[in-house]
Amino acid sequence: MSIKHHVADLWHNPHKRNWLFIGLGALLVMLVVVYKAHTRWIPDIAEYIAQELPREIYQSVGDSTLESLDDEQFKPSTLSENKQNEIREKFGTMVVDLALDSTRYQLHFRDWEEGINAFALMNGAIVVTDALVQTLDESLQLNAVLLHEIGHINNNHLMENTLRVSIFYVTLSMIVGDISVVADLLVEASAMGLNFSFSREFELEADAYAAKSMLQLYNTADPAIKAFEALEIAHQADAQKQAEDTSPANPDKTPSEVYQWLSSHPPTRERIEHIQQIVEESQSK
Amino acid sequence: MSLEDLTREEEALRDEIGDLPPNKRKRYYQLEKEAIRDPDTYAVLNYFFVCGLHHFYLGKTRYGLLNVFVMLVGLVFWEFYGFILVILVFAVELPQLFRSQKIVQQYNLNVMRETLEEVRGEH
Repeated sequence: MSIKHHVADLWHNPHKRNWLFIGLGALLVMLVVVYKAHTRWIPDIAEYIAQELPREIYQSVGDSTLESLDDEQFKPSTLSENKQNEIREKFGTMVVDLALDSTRYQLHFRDWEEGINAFALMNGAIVVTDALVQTLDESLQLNAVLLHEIGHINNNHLMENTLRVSIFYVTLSMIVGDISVVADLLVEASAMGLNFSFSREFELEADAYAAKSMLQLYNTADPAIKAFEALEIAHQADAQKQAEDTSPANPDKTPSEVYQWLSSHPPTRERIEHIQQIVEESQSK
Repeated sequence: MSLEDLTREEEALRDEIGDLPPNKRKRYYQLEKEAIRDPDTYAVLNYFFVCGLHHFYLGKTRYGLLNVFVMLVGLVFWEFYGFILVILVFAVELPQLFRSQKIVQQYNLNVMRETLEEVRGEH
């Protein structure tokens, strides 16, 4: 029987036609519900809960995350004390100039074999890898990256991201009725803060914060753009190196995950254009 | 009409069906099997998003389409007071979930009556 006959049979048989309407109606409603939940309801609920949670929870989760990273992945920084103090001093000045609570943010330096990275933790800690400091030799460029991380902290991105994932799994387990998903969630929750990949929306929001703060402090957001370009060049160089390392001549080598900071973010071109747009908007005001 | 009344009416109809000649009774059961509806399926369809899918199951296509349309408009415009439409649909449809047994039994009785008439009219 051809498809045409199947469709005709489906339409002319009242019983089958009813089920066709049921199927199409369910599909439509489900698509809209999933879309609204993803774009509106879950983010709104996560934002509300994140705001209501006591500071102690942020502190405790952030502390334990840093502790576990120190145990499993990080090594002590190889940067000289002078260099670390110099960057800390500039960071402190920047925080004060932005009228932020200086007790909330702490800067940590670590050596990480995974390469260039900087990330914020829930307790206000910002971890910068040695490779990042070495790649961004210009201090304002490093400040731009640090401001991006402050943007994540100020906007509660880490907690909101964790809550979004949790709400999604709990809702899914309620719909499918599989309680084991909730158990898995508890395991996942223990890794809170270890998930560095934010949504595109969060990254662009943190970029916007960094760009506006750069404009406020230094009257220019160029260092942020230069930082992205420098990281992109480093990323491409690494990609080239990886290609050579994983060539048939070196079959045992696997691609490393160097330059994480870029790989977990939106495309560099898009981010630069976004910053340029913010600069233009601020100049037109 | 209460559930007891409906059950009594069904029993009376079953008696009438039992009085049919064997060939007509066979024909009746063939037709009834296709047209009769299951209260549990109706309840599950009602429970699923409470958006009116259960109306399609009973062949009320227009009512079902209206319900799904209102629900979709409510969901799409949720942040512009669309949620009021969703609450409205819930308020109208949810009580039917608790009356699903009765609603489907009433529907099935009508089907039985019509089928009986149809079979009696056949030569």
